[in-house]
Amino acid sequence: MIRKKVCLLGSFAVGKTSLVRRFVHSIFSERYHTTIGVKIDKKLVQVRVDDGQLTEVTLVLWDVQGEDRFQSIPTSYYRGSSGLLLVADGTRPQTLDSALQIAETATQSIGKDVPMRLLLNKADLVAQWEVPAPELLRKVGADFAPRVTSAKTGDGVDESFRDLTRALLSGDVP
Amino acid sequence: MSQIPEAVQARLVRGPSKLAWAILRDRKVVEIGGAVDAHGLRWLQVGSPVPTDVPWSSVVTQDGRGDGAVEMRALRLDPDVEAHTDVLGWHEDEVTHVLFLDTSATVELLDASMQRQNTDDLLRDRLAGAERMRRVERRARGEAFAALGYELLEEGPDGTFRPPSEPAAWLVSLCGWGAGEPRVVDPGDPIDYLSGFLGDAVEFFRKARSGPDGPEVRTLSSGVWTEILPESLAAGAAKRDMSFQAHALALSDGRGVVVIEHKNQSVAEMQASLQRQRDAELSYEGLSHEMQVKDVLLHCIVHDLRGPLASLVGAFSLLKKGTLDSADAEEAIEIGLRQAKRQDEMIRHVLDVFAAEYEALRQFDDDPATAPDLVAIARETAQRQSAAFQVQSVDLLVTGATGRLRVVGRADRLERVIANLIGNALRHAPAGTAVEVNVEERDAETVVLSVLDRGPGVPEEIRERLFRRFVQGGSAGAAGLGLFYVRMTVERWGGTAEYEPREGGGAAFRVILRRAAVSS
Repeated sequence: MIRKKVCLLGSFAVGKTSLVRRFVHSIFSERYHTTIGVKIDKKLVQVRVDDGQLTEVTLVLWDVQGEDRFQSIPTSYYRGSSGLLLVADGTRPQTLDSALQIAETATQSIGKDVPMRLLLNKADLVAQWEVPAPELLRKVGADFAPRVTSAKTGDGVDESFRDLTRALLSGDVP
Repeated sequence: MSQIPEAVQARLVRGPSKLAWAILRDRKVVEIGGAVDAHGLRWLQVGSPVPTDVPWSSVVTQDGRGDGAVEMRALRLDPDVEAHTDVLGWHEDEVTHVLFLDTSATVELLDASMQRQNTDDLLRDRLAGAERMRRVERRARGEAFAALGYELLEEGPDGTFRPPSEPAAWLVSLCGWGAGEPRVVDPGDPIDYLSGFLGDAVEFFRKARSGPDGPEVRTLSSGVWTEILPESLAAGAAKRDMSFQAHALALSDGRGVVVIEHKNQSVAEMQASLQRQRDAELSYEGLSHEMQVKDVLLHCIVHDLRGPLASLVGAFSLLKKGTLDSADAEEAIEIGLRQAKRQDEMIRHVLDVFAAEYEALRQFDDDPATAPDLVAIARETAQRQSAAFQVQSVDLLVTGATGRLRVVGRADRLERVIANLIGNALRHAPAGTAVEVNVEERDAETVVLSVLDRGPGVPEEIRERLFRRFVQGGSAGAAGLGLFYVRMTVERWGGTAEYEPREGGGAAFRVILRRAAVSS
């Protein structure tokens, strides 16, 4: 069985835990629960790779605590990561810069380029987005294959995880 | 002496010293010689019978085995003589030959060997005992730690980690040990948190052993991690979060152990504390942002209010001069009046928005008997706006349902919502076109009100922000609060506000409201 470690990274309260809960358990809670350390969950995913073959992968999802002045991320968390999911909150544009910064640190720590995807979360609150989604997506750039997601409604969540899984299997790095 | 049997010869070749011999016939000594004293055999004289109670008497009486030998080993023939004697006998015709071989040296060697073996056994026993003790101690230690909510893993010589005693169910689940599987964790797989940390621990132990700091206990702690384990570990049905922290201890005797701490309680406390900090931070962020928006809003409102005011001041100034003829004076009054009305409308918008913001969430009617009738209110509102439409040569049509459709809301607020949408459509509708207000049942639970125009539609770049505060579609005279008010109001009633480009050109604004009958 193929096992791949994926780290979810981003500022606090951007919805990393909610995205994992939506993807793995199909549930959502409005209440914000800050993550201490790292929370590990797993999901068996079936994806079709380039040759059209159906492949099973166990994604080991490391939902890493949001970094701020209270908590920093130990670099050992990144060790052995096959891919990264960067998460930003569309209603807080500054979290996008944080996600990109964390991605840089993580890549340096891993020591090689790994597939990365950036999720602009909280699409259900798009009316409150300070900067419109197209503008944010342009800012991120194609390297991160950004997507707009909503852990609340589930929009874009499954697709994002599966897209990254395919990239992990095909070694598609930016 | 006759031919010595081969077996005896072989025995003699091995070189015992102090040989004595005797030849017997009918159990009587007929000949005796050699080192008789060394074996304590002085009493054995020629002609004397061999007693039946000597320990080697069986050698003497073994008749009928002329081609073989009978051997008795390491006999003490005389208690006063420190000698061990091997007695060998064989029979030939009617004669018995007996050899007495001194084997004291051999016995000493044997004794020494036996003693050494005994010592080894003793040592082994002691070691086994110590190991047993160690196992008992380890088990006791493991159980003691388990009682405190900790689990131990001990580094083995093969580099793997094992629990010293029966591990708790949560450790079994954490390590993924199936029934009957060896309780072993291989360190170093960074995909699994514990295994990754054990890899760090191995390296830490190695450094601690080779380090110059001497034999003191040193520790390496992991971060806190949470895994989703079966809530009922036996049943494995539901799942729940369980938090852990691991500590690698390099002990002074060179051993390495890892203590795993079950941290749910302290993580919950840490979480509560951090949560408060972050909630406060998020509130602060939100309030700061709100303040900024309010500042901008206030600035813009003041700016917008100044426009009509300038026209008013201009009109009054011209009138005061008294130089206008009656037609121009009429026009100046008309302009002043129009601008005053415009300003009044803006102020009303602002007040509505602020009032709506502070309005209690449940200020609405959801009683199916008294809740506002959307069809009636849409018609009445359209009727009130018809004059303005006539001025701009735009038709205003009310279509769709004709019966009663009671929705969750408040009549006065609903009228304002519809008036805002109609007023917005009028601002953008070109002369000669029509604005359509349509009310329809969408499904058993909801009703939709659409306001459709043939104007330029909303530019794509502002569509996502359209219903936010102070977003203007580029039209003059709009403070950018009307659509914000619409969204905020209907959302508080459990409804939604949407926009999409109208098929064939123009704008389509829709408000979806819950039916009162359903909600009740």
